[in-house]
Amino acid sequence: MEESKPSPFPPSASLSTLGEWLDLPTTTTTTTTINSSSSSSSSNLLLLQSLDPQQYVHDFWKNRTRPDGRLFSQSRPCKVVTGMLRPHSAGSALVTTTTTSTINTTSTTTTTKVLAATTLHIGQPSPDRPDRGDIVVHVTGSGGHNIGTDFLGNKQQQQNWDVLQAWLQRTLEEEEEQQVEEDGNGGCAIPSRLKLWTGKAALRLVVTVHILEDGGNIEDAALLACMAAWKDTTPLPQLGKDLVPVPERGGALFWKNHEAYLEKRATATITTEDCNNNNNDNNDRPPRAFRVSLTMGVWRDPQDQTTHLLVDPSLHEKQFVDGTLTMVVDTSSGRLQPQYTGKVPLTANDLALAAKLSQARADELAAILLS
Amino acid sequence: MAGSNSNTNKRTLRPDGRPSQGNTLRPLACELSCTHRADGSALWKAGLTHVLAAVYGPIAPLVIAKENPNQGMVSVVIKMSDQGQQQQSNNQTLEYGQFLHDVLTACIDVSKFPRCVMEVVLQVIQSDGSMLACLLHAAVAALMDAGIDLLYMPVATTCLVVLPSSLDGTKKKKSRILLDPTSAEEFEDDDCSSVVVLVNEKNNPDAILGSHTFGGGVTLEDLLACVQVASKACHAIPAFFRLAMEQKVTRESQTLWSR
Repeated sequence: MEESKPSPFPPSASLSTLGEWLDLPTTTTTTTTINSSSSSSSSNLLLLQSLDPQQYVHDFWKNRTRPDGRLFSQSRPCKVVTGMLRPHSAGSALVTTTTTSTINTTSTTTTTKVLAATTLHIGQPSPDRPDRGDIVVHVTGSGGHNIGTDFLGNKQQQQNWDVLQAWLQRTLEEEEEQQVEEDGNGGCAIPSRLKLWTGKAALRLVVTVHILEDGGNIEDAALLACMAAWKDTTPLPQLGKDLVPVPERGGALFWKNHEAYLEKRATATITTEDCNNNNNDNNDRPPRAFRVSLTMGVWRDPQDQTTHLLVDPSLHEKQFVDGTLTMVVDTSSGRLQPQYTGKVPLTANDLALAAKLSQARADELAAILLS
Repeated sequence: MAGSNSNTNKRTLRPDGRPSQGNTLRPLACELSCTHRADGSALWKAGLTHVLAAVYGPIAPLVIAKENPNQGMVSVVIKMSDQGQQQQSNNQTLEYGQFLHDVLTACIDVSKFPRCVMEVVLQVIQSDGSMLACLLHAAVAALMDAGIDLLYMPVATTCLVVLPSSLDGTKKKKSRILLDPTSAEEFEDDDCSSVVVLVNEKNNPDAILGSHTFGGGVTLEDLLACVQVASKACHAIPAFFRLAMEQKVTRESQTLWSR
């Protein structure tokens, strides 16, 4: 591993030496603690944050804490609100994660806000998959605070969102595939939820994800929003119950009572009992599983060469980590999908720790999604 | 699907003739400097998967806004040959491109090339499984051919984790790991298998520098078993890179002295 470049500032960028180098007046005795409440050290801290943000963040990490006061294994508080776009969409969810860092009287709040909405279309299934539906994901964004902050501008931002769209699409498709169980005779013991009529009609679930604010770790928020919106999408129309085929019209499907279906959807409330009844197409269907993800920043301490995992890195921290590890967990089977890229090699112990943190996070979010 | 899975268990050979133990790589072939217009190029073949890579750079970017005054930038462009499934190819290309961009940025000494761009263009000529690993190896071979400094040599290993099922359809807990799967093996049991691509290097084979997973997911035990398999396989690829480079240098020296 290459050594880090020497900082342009004095080798020991402690608050006192930085103040002396900048010839700032100090009224109190010199102190090198980050959490000092004196006004001069606070102003030095703000100065360090703006002049050398990497050193600022590393000083916190060396003390095994983070600029917003969290521990390494702590996620930001997360709030999930579902159904706010009803009845305009089949399902919707807004995920908000907020963190606040305070230096003396100055507070900085960073927020990640993602809105997901689902819509159902009825169409003809693909000939090679006659009993499966389709899932399409669109990711857009208003940019929030990030327009122009990246020196590459909007084009890089759009490219990042395209990659996020591809990842969400694949994850949701794989998750739907896992729900389907086939019996030994080539049929479907547990059919796809999006299937209506084999070979003739199926549902297409269109998920629109809108990024309202990007305060870091969009991937976790977007996947949680998609899962919450998918869960909020109740009830799915069923053949024979809500839709009937009309042979005289070439087998086209017509609503039995469209107004009643829309009213049922608009007044559906998510309670524990209703959620279980609405999600199961038949009584034999197992409870729905979800996929949740946990993103961790990887940082190697240059002094003792130990590797640390920073759960749910903020936008500021993400610039200075040595790698990013995202673990997608299936809440029912507990299986993992690790995605990692970085300069720091991860050992088996690091992977085991990451798996443990991801499982704990999945248990937390499963309680929210299944409530 | 359970029936075909039991057939997999009964076979003594894999579909391409390799032993069924699952720890054999497909035959490799690499030709360096196959295109003359690029600064570096390589044609990488692993079984029936063929990838052509070309590296242009380090050069000044066409758009000044893309300049980074502190370090160089890596741009990855992937062109797939599969025209039948456009949407799926586009999504796959985006994910592969981002993964390769991150891995190559970590392994290239980008601090030596400020305000420059290194463009890596990858063309998939033929696809037969383990695509991501072949893309990475082709890119690394082309970077070596272009003479770009690397901090380490990344080696990608593809493992197919299969949950075997017994004849009566119940799933056993112990899974099988097949190294370097073909396309037929990857799509044989969609709901019972996952593809794990691990990136490591020869000097530290027991640790991973990158990973990408498709499919239903794996247990922690299976993941650590894949790391073990990757650590054993990561010695073969650098040796092959060295062989390909030696052949290229020998060929060029013979051509020079023959004038």
